[in-house]
Amino acid sequence: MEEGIVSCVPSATESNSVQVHMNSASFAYYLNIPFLFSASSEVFIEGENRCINETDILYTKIDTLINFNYKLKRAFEVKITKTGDEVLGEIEELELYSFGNNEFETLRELNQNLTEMYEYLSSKNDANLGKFPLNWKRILSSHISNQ
Amino acid sequence: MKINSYPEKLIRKKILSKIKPEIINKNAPHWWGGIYVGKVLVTKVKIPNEHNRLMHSNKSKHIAHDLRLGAEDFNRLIDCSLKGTEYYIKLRAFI
Repeated sequence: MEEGIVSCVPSATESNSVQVHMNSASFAYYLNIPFLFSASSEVFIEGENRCINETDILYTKIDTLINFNYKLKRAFEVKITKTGDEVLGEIEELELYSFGNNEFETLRELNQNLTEMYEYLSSKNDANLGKFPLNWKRILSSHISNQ
Repeated sequence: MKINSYPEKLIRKKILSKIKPEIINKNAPHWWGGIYVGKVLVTKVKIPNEHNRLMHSNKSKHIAHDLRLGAEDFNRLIDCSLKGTEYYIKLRAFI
């Protein structure tokens, strides 16, 4: 029996999840893995390898947080730009950005930065925040809540 | 004016030595820190890694933006002529 991932299809039982069929040395099993990121059809094409050329600017969303202590009330829009061999992801309203070798790396770092920034700014009194951090805190609080 | 290309480790060194941000997160892939004027957090900055590879303006412009510096002042920060004290005087405008 060939080991590894056999197939990856949308889950029939859980929304916003994929069902991964995997084979290990001793048995085959299925996992339902939640989508961490939803994307516009321009970014992900089911069943095909997606290719962003150098001049593409695309938009996707982060609608689930990696840190499961928090949940998103509203998704964050992410601007994706391919620059040379790297992918730049930006959440412009928060002045957050990340460079990665691919979309997954970029979006993962942004996802982590969101909760790090939320935790950090939430720990600060508003009187100790300048105009930019105060605005970021307001935006983050409108999008993120505790589980 | 365009931001010059500098080694990532040099940009990292200048940020840490001249600006001395409060490091918020040391987790991979990048550190990031808060920059304070007195007790007030004014901005944040993502700190480059300890790499020798050149960082070009397409990337460093984001760092410059984080620092609230234009291209010329960012080049001066890395090239040595912009001191930390001068940087913080400029930063007061963004409190």
